[in-house]
Amino acid sequence: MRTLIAEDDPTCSLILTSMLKPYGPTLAVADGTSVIREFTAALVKQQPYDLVCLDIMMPELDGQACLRCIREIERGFAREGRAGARILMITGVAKPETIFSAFRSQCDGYLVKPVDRARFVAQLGELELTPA
Amino acid sequence: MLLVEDNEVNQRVGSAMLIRLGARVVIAANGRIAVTMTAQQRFDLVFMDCQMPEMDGYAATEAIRARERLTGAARLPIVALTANAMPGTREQCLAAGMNDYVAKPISAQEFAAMLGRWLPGSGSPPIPVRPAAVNDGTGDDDRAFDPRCLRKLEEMETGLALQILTVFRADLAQSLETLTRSNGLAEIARIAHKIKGGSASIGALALRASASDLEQAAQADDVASCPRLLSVLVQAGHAFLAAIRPEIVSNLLHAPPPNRNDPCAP
Repeated sequence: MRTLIAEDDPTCSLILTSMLKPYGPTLAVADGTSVIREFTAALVKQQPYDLVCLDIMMPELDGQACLRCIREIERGFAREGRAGARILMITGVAKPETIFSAFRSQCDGYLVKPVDRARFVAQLGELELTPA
Repeated sequence: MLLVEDNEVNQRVGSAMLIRLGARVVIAANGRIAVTMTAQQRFDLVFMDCQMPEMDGYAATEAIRARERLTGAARLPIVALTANAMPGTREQCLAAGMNDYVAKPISAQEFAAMLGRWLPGSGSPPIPVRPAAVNDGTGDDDRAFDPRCLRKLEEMETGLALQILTVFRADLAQSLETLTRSNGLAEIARIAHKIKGGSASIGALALRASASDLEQAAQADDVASCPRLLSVLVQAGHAFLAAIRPEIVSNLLHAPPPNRNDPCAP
């Protein structure tokens, strides 16, 4: 499986990259605009990402906006529902309204930082994502 | 707290002891840097080595005192640290304008006594010794740095802990730089949030707390509290950068846990 990570904190980005190593290739970017660009490019090349990990507080385009954007792009490519990517919000924002809003915008999971490996692996398992 | 010291080992030992005592420590590598730093930010107390390259402790103290006289600023307490136990050294320190004198090597008790004597608002007896700022990871949660987080990362992947620490330090240094120049509350909140996230992952508990306080104040548009919280975070960040160095962490990761009662354990 292929994973796209959007995280402006390089510390968290490295930790996620390390945790995802057994699952397949990952690409990490640090801002929302890059996520959208990379996600769309992958769809065009017909090598879509299976999982997108989105931080919420990021410069330019925040994670919530990215989430809505990605779902919109997927509709354009007729990849809705199960055909779309699994999107996991990984963030320090634990406000209920932020969490509800993310799920309304069709994220598949929401983890509050700091994320430990057991919780992360369990969450991926719930999304039926397993190591390669 | 400003620790003026050119020797790197003494910098680390001194700052570790002071952090254990609950102080926030900034390090200056010589007298000239100390003179500049004391002009730029407010300190409660300075520990000043006497023999240093470029500008020694006596000259630096004279420069600081001269500036205080010119600006009418309050007298910053300066405690001399010197290896020279010769008679007359104390007089020389006092003549230069220092308030007190301690002969090296300095024990944690002597540091505590100096804090008790010279910190504003803390009379004797000295402030109680807080749990270790950096300890072996068995015990209390009231500390600045918890090495268990880095150990966990190292268990995940060999070499990961140091890699992450290095990246975190570089990013933190840049964030602190940006914070001191930024003027928008939204940007301050975002950077504080980022520091909070990184600190939580690597176990920098004190830094995480300061970053969280600033993030909340900035998000709540609490303009009155932001400058103070920002300066607390910047100081905590510099203290972290001074104390939690890759080589120290490397020892923590690879050595067996040090004896908790060892006063020299960094």
